[in-house]
Amino acid sequence: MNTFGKYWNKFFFEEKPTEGMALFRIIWIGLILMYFIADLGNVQDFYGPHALISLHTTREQFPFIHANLFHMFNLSYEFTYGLIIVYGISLVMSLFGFLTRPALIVALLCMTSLHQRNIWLLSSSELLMRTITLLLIVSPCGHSLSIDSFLGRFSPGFRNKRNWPLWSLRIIQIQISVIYLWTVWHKLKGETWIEGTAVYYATRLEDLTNFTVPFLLNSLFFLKLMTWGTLLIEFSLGFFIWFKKMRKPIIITGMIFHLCIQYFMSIPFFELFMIALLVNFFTPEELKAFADKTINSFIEGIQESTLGTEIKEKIIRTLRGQHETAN
Amino acid sequence: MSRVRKIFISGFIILNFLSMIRVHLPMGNKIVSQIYQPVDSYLSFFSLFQSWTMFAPDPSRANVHLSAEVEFMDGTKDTYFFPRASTMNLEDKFAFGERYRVISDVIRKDQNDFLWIDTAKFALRKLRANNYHKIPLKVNLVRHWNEISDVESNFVPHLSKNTNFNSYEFFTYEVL
Repeated sequence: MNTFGKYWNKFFFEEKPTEGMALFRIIWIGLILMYFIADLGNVQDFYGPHALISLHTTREQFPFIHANLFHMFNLSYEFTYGLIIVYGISLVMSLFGFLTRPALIVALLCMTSLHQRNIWLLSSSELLMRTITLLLIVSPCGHSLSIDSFLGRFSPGFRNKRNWPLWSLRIIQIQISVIYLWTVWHKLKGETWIEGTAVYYATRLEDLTNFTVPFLLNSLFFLKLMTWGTLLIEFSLGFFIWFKKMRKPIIITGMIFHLCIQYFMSIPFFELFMIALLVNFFTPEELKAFADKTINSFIEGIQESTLGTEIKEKIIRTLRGQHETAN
Repeated sequence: MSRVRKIFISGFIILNFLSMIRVHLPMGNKIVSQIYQPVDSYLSFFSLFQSWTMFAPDPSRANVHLSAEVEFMDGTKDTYFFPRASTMNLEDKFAFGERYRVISDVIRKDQNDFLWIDTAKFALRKLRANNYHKIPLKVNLVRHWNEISDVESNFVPHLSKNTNFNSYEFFTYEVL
């Protein structure tokens, strides 16, 4: 039990740099912001008083307590657009890391309300959005690369530790593994995955087609290879990714795998979300080094620019200051 | 970090782990339900029940879309076709194509008949602009589908489209 406790402590409570979580926050919220912008034209059809599914039906089907602000106010376009404006502002605040945790809480509440307004429209992409954003709230994702951390130089109220226990990152990592392992488990129950024809049928669903590579997608040999390859890659992403030596090649393979699916198939956002999630398997030290390198090259770019010396110094001081705020 | 804080966080870690496997445990089982009561409340509140059955156990083999035919008092008819991702550009697919694909697949199923009246009314609203002077009598919801041919008997080339659809009128909404 003592050994288990030690492992548990090391695995979940070891303190590591927070730049990785901050980087993930920027990527994740950036993608949700893209989703949000794409969704702006859908207010009338999906969320407003004249939407496809009425609020009355939603209420009848979900009589239990759940996070849906639509149940607390009279449904009107004013309310719907108001909610969307608040959602947009909270996403931008989360992206830049200003009042990060409260902004993420508001964003999650608005997101869940919009999702639960018409839940029959949704797929795994939206489930991922809710699950991961909820975990971001409890993470130290605003502790660095954020306006909060910059303000921390002037106000103790914004000051946060740059090193933080790993537990929230670990939950996200376990969540990613669980997604891959469950999907492989379910696929192994299907005939087409075993006999190798699943990718043939999936790529022939007209609503899901995107671009083609004729030789690959019209050859039964390659279709079978892709079917079994999918199972192998997904299993590796759920299991072998935890082994140190295999981690990096598997992350890269996973990212290429999701990019290929995005190319062949029109599954908006899901593949992009999965690629973003895989970033969490790089170690916090690796991600910190990446963030440092990016900021340093940005500083070099400013130094070489034609801006006035005083402005250059101010920008560089701000970047360095925000970057180097001590624990 | 204090011991109490660690215990509290460990509880949260366990809650999350339990929530990841919830859907895969028997939902109707009384003992499991009792144990899972707090987890279920957490999951229902944010709608976080996770199944992750993407293309599993087998990918669907049906191309499906919906239409609604409105009959007016003067004997004329008009039809609203629900948007289909297969006819959209990439931008529209991202914006709403996938959502219409998902909901069309939900609406067509008999167990979701509680959505049919709303769907009929929605189609009626969509057709109102072109028929504002007419009085609608009824709305017929129609599902259209075709099945992807078997890989062995008739290999379908990628991106080829089958324009032959079976149709079935599955619901009539009497407006008047």
